[in-house]
Amino acid sequence: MIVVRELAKHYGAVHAVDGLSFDVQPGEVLGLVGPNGAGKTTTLRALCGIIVPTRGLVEIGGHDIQRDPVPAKRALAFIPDEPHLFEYLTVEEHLRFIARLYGVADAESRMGPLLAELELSDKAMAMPRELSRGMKQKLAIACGLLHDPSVLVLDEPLTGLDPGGMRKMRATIAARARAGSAVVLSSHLLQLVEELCTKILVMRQGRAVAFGTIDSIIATRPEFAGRSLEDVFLTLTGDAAQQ
Amino acid sequence: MNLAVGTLAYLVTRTFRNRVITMARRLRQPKYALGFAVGVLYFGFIVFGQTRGGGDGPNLFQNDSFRALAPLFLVLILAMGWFASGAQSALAFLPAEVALLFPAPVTRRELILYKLAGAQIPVIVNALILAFIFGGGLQEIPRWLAFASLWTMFATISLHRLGAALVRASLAEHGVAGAKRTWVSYVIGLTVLAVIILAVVPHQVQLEGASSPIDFMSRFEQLLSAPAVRAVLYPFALMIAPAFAQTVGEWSLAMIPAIALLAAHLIWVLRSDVAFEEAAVEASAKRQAVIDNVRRRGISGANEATPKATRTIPLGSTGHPAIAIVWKNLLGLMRTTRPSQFIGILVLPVVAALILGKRSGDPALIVAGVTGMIAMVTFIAGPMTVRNDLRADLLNIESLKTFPLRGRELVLAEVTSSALPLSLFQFVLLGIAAVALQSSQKPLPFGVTIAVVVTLPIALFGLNLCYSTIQNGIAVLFPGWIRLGSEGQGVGAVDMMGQAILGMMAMLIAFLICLILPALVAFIVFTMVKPPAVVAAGFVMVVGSLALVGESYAMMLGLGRALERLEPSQVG
Repeated sequence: MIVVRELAKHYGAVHAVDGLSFDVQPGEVLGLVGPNGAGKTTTLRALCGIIVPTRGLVEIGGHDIQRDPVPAKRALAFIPDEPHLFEYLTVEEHLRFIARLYGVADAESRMGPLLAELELSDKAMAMPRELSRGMKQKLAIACGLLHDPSVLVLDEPLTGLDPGGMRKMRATIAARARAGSAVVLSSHLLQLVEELCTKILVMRQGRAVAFGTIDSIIATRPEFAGRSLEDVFLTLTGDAAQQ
Repeated sequence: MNLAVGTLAYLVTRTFRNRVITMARRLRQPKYALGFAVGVLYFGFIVFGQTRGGGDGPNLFQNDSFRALAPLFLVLILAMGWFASGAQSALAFLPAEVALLFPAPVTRRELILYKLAGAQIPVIVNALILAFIFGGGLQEIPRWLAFASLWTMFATISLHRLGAALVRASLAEHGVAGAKRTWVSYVIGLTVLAVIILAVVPHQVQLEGASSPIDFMSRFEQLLSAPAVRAVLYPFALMIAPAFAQTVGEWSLAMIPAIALLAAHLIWVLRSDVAFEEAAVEASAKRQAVIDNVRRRGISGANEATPKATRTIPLGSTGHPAIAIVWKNLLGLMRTTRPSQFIGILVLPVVAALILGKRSGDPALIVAGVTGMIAMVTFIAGPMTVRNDLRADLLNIESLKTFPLRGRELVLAEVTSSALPLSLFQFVLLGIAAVALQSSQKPLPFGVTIAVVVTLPIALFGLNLCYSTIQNGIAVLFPGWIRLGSEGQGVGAVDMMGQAILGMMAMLIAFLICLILPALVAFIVFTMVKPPAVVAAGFVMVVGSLALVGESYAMMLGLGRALERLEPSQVG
């Protein structure tokens, strides 16, 4: 579903991402973890076609995101950590807009339940400036889920959500994966990663330092046995010495 | 030096320095280097033209009529700060400033001084542009003195706008309490307005007798020379007097009151600040009293904001996805403009006909002329104010690039979003002009009118599409050099005139270059087909416009590829 091969993104001498390769199959949830500046957001942006890789291949549903971007983008949804909304569209109009962009024929029947699920029903006619930070994030999530994407890319998905919203979001991600979506999420919340992700990719300075299930990563070194994911993460990313 | 003032000065200077460095670093990219080279050639062309022709050309600042009318223009410019929507942007702080400075131990007065200091950078840049690039035909005095005149004038205007924004903010926030504190500002403004109206209205007959727009302006100028009008316009005349000085001696004398007015504005702005705080304290006390009262009565104090009923346009969920972009942008335009703005423009020809038509005996001709002129002005100024296209949307580039659209489709939809409403508005204006012309005493041949009206929509759309493509093209190719967002230059932003003139001239030159190929195509097709004389004008318009649309589309293909390679880090 998601194929990444030798992905690299360089900004002059800075190698934000360098030689990253991984696959995410339908039903899998890949957690992208790493310290600040590790290249997680750059990777997510390259997956969604927001930035052009310096080299490498990204395929979404069998389509090269650079050469054949329209079908690739039609299959995916990107939910960034900072919601990017249109200033002059109401909540409901955001969904209508997305419905047209992605050709969601049964949008009318999907919009109501989606707004209710995200507790936005009474804000349907509100402009983004009338929404709180959390509500904006919920609207961005609603926009991402409306067209039932087969690939879901989330950057810090719980940012700005209240505890109830966080619980629902975790349930939504799990449900989407069970329904056959391939999910990639980036988060500093290791508990979330541990709870939801079937595989994790630990990044450091643009490179993968570990990739696989949590158990398989722990099994790679004897000293990881019995340690928490946080300890494993800090050791892998070289932050343990700083603690 | 006060610690806060020193820190804020550091922030202003470092921000300016870093902005210049960032702009210079962009020159490492070939497209920016090329753009810079074209810009240097463009500046050189203007300066060379000014140096060669400056002494021989008409000097606007030596024209008596312009000198007589200039204070009134200034009143109108300053009035925009009081009445126009969007003028409040003078008070706007950046999110980082709000987050870091507002909670910091900095007084509101220091914040306003910081705002003023920041505003000086564009004021100085624009005064430099006008004095040293366009200054050849303006004044006889040395250019650095011309720069000082312009800086004084623009800085005063900038201060006035900030003062007006503070007063309006105070009124909006604190209602009557704010009004009590700002009544002096309103009394002055209303007095100026009342005196001008009282001077003009009794002599309306004189204006109605004007035989031409020039005669009208001449008669209007005479009315402005009435003692009462001159008295109320005197401070405004003083403000601009240095710009009219033709000798160093005249300039020196004129600068004294101009600087005094600048200082008076500074004091006013700082005093407005004090009034603002007092009004806030007063309003807070009243609000607390209301809350206490409500609590005593046991009524819920919660006041749910009711959702605004907004007009909308239906959009089906199936069909070409690019339509969604046009729909979104048209909704944005609809929600940022008021119908009264369009009605105001349409009322202007009627007023002109009422005033000038009696004497000329042909009010329909006056309506046709004025409406046609407005259409021409909207063609040049329209794309600078209607920015519901990539110029606004590039700020959301991260979302745009995830949409399932090719770059060229996105560019086409965005460009159409601004070109279509502008074309419709101009078509309405020119339609009114055509109908009025047919009703006048000098109607065009009916066939010509029909040919023009029928071919006008495609011609207008072609012209606007090309002009909008150029504007959007600059946004896509040089996003780091232009202002992005739906907000235009801002009403009454005369202190940004230098940059606006430079930008507008560059756009017009690019547009004229784009017209060469379609004109050639139209000429060749015309000579090959040789259509009948009655449809010749319409034929040329249609062929030329189609060629222009084709040329614009070719540009959009290139821009689409550029947009696909554009990254969020390059924007802003």
